[in-house]
Amino acid sequence: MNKPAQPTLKQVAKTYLNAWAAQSDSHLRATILLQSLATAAWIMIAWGVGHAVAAVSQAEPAFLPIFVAALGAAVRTLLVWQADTSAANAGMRMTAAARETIFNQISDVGAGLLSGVGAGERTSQIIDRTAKLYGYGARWLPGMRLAIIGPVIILIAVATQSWLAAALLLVSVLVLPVFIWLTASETAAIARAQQSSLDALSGAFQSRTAKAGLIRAFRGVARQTRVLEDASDTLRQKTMAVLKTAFLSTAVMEFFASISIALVAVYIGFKLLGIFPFGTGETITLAEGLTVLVMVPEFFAPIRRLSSLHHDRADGVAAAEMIGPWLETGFEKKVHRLKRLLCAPEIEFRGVALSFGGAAPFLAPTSFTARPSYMTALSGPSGSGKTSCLLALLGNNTLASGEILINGVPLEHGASLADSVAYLRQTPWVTEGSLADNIALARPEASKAEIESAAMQAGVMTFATVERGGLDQPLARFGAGLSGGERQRLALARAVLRDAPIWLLDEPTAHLDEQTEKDFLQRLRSISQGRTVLITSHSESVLSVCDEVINLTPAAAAETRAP
Amino acid sequence: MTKLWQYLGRPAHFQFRLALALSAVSGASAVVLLGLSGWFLTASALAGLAGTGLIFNHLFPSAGVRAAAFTRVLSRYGEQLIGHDATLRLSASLRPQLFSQGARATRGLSPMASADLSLLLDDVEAAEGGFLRVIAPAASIISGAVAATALALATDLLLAVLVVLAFVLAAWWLPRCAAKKSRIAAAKHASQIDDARERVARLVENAVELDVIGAMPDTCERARKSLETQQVELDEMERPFRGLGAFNTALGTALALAFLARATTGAVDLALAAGTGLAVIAAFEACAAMVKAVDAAPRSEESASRLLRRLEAPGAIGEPKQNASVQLGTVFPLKFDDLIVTAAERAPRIGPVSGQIVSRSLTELVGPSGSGKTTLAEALMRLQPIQSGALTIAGTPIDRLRVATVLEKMAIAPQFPSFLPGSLYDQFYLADPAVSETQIWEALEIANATDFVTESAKGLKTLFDDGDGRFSGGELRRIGLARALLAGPQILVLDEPFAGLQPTLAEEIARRLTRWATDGDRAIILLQHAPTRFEWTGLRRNLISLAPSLP
Repeated sequence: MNKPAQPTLKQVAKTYLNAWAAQSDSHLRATILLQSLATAAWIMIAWGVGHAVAAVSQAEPAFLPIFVAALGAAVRTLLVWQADTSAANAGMRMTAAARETIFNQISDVGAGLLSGVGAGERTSQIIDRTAKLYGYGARWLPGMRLAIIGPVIILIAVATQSWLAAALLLVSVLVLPVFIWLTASETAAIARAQQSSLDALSGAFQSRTAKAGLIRAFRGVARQTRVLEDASDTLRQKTMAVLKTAFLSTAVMEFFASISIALVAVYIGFKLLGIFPFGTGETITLAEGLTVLVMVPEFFAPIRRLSSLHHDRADGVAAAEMIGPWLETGFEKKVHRLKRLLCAPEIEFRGVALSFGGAAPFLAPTSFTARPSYMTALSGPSGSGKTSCLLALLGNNTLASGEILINGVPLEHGASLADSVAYLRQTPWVTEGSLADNIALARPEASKAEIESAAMQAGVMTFATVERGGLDQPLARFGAGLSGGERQRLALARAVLRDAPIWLLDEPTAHLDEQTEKDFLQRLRSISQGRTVLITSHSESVLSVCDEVINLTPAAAAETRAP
Repeated sequence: MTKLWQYLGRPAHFQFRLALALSAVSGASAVVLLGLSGWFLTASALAGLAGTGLIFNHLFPSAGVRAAAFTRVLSRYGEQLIGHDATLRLSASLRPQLFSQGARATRGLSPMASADLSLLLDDVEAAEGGFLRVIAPAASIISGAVAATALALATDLLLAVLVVLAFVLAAWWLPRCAAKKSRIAAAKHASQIDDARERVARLVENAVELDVIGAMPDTCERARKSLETQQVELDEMERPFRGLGAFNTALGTALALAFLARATTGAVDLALAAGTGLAVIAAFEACAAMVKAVDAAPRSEESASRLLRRLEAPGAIGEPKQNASVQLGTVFPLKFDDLIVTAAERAPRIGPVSGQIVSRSLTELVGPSGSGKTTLAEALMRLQPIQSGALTIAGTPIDRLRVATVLEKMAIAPQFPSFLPGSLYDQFYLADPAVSETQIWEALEIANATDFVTESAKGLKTLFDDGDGRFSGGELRRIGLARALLAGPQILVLDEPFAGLQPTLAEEIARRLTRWATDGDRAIILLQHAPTRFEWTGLRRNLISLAPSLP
């Protein structure tokens, strides 16, 4: 059977990269145009310098060529400055476009898109990975085109002065790409290997330095110092092996640039002396010769720049290979929200095993029923899938086997009960605005009286005192200044206001001290009456107030326990 | 930077000097190449015009042009290669020393705060990169400038002075101004990137909650806007440097034209003027790289001096010289009188406490959280300095004992143990490099940890990577207990070993620990909120209460 052709990782990455690049296209064009004009201005300088010297040598006035050269220098400065600015804009646009795509997809798909890797890593993907696209847009994209346009402009200009000099440049530039490509591809392969040992060294140094106290307590300082010394030494040897080839491509570049200048200089010099041994079918004047000589370095400049841009290209592609496929998974993770349930349902897990898309299940088949007006606790070691069970009700998990029944009706794949749910975790979301605004997030259309009543029931009024400004007191961003207990009461108020038939609480007391935890549980008990409540927790005090405690077993442990 | 390098004993001094010399050579040869070519061309043309082409000595200059070309390529390659090698050698000398010195200066067991750690890592990176980012490019540019100035001097004194002034402007003053402006922008950017990072991190963390209440699109939009502002401020940082390179080239061209203009008056030799002009253009174009060097210089310098301070810091605990120290046969009795300790320099005082620990005893150190139980226990192990009071071990005052000597006989199982990256086995290897698998299983048995280790699919090879929650808090504490046992201590310090454990399990562990302690010349120090109700048969019990400490 033929599977439908799946686009490969590289193709997906390319599609995204091109889409982002398209958004910075106008800046890219401007950069290329301005930079090409700057190259033309360099020709003015070369022409001016060459003709000025020639004029002086023949005791003629050199005013015009000097003026042309000076004008060229001034114009070029302005053009390069503008080109740099628009290149920066292209880079910024590229990064911004990628971030836009990501945020749009998150808004569209929801929390499911963010699951799978740790919060720190996701954050870094959204901020740091996208930042790597700057170099791709600002340097690599224009640099790649200018490495062709720039030399062509100069080559034409050189050809008008001396065909042989032009031919010399052409030959040297034709063999160049082959060599650079050879060294670059080899270098890239070794560089990847070397990067991993660099990461290992930084990791080794970092973790040991951070835990120096522990190592000292076990008298391991001398030993661990030796480990670091050995790791540094290995890194040095590996790195040097890479660099020997890596710098070779730069050296080849430099070699051709230098030798071309030397060859052109020697050829023109001999020609002018009249001692060049072969007929080349051209005569060269001093003006032409010097013009060519001044132009030659500019011929190689964009190519040299390009050879230093491999990093920008690789970083950009790597970012797209990371982000593109990740965003693509969103199309499968998209959930549809079921209509709001009118009263608290019975939720039954029947032999449910959970897995992350296609992988082996991490939760052993589990069965339990959460009943209305009951508080059901899910317990078990970390990693046993407590939170994942809650997320399964929001359409965010794949069931490897079994089914979830809501009032006896199976919950289909990708269906979410979000509209019937109040969700509370260890650190609730707090945003800019007043306390009342924050409570109202749960149900934006709620009246003032409803908000006040919810706040009252959840115990928010105990800290929303008149001195602190009541419910209108402004909250700092992310709730700085609120204690853990106050935050949880705010979250409770939200849950009350939302009036949802199902309450899902994910380790709600993990950040609370004993007394605050007790107080929270008491309130929770009384105001969650009449709802179906599911709590995940390690805490003995939480488990003791629940009506039923379900112990979850990780799949791996269940396997080893089986006879 | 040099001071740090000297402190480390000038690692790779041969490589650094060679790389520096090669940088200078490569900078000068690039300038000489263009200058010599310009002079050669013009002189050839003049000779050709004068009809003296055949007697013009073209061999030396044309060979010189080729030699300059080769020198430039080879010196550049060598400079890069040797410069990187030297930097890596520096790193291989710096990092281990930073680690071992850091370990000596650390108090207690707690891991380094992540903010401090990231500052340290940044410093290491900046100081190590100092040569390649600052010194080598500066050497190359300066030697190019010197070469161009020398040519200018040979041509015309007045213009040479101008060239020097222009170099100061292009390679020092302008980059410095730009770097200053950029640093002001950088401070603004730093707070904006923190804001953006926090917004995104919170969004990711609270995603499910935001999803449920339908606040996701709005939150995404705010995060995106914050990142957009961050980008603009990042660009503010780059802006002062923009166009500086092009300006330098223009400046060089203007000076080159000035030489030609001077030649029109016949005051200077035309060929020399043409050569100097081209050399000046090349030298000024190279100045563009100075911008980044000037920008990086103060950062590298500050980082290096911070690292040096860290390396020169005295150890946290005073100890005698290696040869003046006394060896210990036993730690018993360990006596302390009116001991006062603090957790940090200005932290509240703990104590005074007095007591004695003898063989086959159980000392319960009780007090509410924050009363300083852990700090006191760490001080007895010599992991914290002692402010006042006397501590003697087997009759020897502690100032005659090395810290390592004491730690040979004492080990601790912390309440929240931390672990090194690596496998479960690696944790035990830290306690005893000669540990055998049998010994590990014996220790795990005492800590009642064999069940879950056997159940874990990879057993002792289970990896401890950051954020990998394979073991629960209670399990980690038991692994920490096994690790402390494997260090082979006479005195075992246990910090809240039973918190959160099921009562039957706790009792079982207490029973096994009692057997361990009565099995030899051993003692246990137990840190608890309240005295335990276990039997501890065969151990002499001893209670020390700590009141909440006063500031």
